Amino acid sequence: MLYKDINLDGTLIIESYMYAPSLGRPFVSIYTDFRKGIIEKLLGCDCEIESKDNRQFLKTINYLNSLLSSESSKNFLKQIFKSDDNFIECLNKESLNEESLSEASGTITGFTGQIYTGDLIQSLINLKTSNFESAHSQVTDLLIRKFEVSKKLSDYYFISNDQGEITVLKGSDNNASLRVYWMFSLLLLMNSVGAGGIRILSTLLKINDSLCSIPTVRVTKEVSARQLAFSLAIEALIVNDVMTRISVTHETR
Amino acid sequence: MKLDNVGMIATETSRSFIYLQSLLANELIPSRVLLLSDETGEVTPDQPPNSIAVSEFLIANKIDHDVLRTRAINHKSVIDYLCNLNVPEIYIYSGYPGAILGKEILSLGKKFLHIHGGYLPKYKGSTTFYYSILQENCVGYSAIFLSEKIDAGQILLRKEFPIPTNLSGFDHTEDPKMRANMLIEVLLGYVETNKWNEAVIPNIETPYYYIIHPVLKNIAIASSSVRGISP
Repeated sequence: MLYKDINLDGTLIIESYMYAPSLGRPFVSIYTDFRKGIIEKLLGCDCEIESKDNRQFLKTINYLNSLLSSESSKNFLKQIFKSDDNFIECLNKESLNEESLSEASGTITGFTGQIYTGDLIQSLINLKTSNFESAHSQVTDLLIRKFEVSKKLSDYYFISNDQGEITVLKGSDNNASLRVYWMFSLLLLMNSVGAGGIRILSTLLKINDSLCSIPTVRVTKEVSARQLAFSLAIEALIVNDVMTRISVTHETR
Repeated sequence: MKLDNVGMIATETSRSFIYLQSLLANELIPSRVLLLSDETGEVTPDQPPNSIAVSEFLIANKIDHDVLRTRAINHKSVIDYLCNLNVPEIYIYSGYPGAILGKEILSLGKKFLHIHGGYLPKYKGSTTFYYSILQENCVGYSAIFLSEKIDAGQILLRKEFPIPTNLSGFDHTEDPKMRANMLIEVLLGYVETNKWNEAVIPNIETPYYYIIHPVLKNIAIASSSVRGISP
């Protein structure tokens, strides 16, 4: 069953999506327990690295501020981080200055050529947080398509730009680094909130399944364990938000 | 009655089985059925356990059919088979999940009638049924002729319905039944007027939906007991 036998790589999970069991709420509980287990592992590991993506992470947190600041969200996150609620407090103190927040990138709108996927996603996060919505969402959608069709992210792509009509063409055969997958998950987090975000939330869950299926020791060589833990918790919060919106409660156990 | 110009491409799936049952119940018999089936004979995840094989159903009901030992709709044997038949020109399409008809098969001069589990053109792609439950509290189906662009072919009929009460086991039971009902409605319209009632619906550009993550699918299933309507 999905979330039971996965610890090798993401392929196994993706292959089984089509035939995942239809259990209703019990399945959601299995998912929540699985994610909580990973979060605990991440918070417990003593291999924290200095994050290269601190700025992107904080931008994401800032962008999601209205979701994260509600009392119900705080309570939800406290349940997950019961062993480490200082983390939330610390995070609240960290913030970006206005200059960093308004920093935007013109690389996508006027760009044609080969681009490293990490740079592309970084630009997309900048555009999203700077409210350049249309350019941002078109390219984000193209990247989602690349991932959903090929079941992976390439380490770079070719972008063509014909009078504003942007196309993301075939990338390299090499898989992107885990750090790039993590950045993509940050980008999708920002796009998953609200009723219109379900389509993107679906891809986010797949990306995070891939990250969770890789041994913690390996992931945390490239991604900050604490930041990954927090982004997984936000994903669970958004899933919880979907459930609340359509009046589905968690299974009582 | 035998549908002279309408055949069917069937597979060993719950959907094909229920389509054939419904067609028979409404006395709408495809002039020829092409069954795609691999050689293993094992029950696949596309079928409910202990299901009756479609091949057995075809034999038991004396429906003219041929079997090709492949699951791939774009396989050369399928192309050759269709090429060699002048009639039927229209095929009810009930392929294996996830299969997409390629350029070659779509350029044979045949039309493939498909019942899509989403209200088009709003819900293009895979598992859109579950997405529309989560986003709009309803479900939709559309009858279309398949085209090269996914879910963008000519729409013949589309409808929206309230969410059914119980969605567990939906993929194998209720979903094929709802599709079959729509298929029958389209075919009865064709038999009555001797033409396909092509709806005039502009094909707008909408986002494409990819196979829904199982967590979201299961939330949709859970929501059916809360928000669903008893049939």
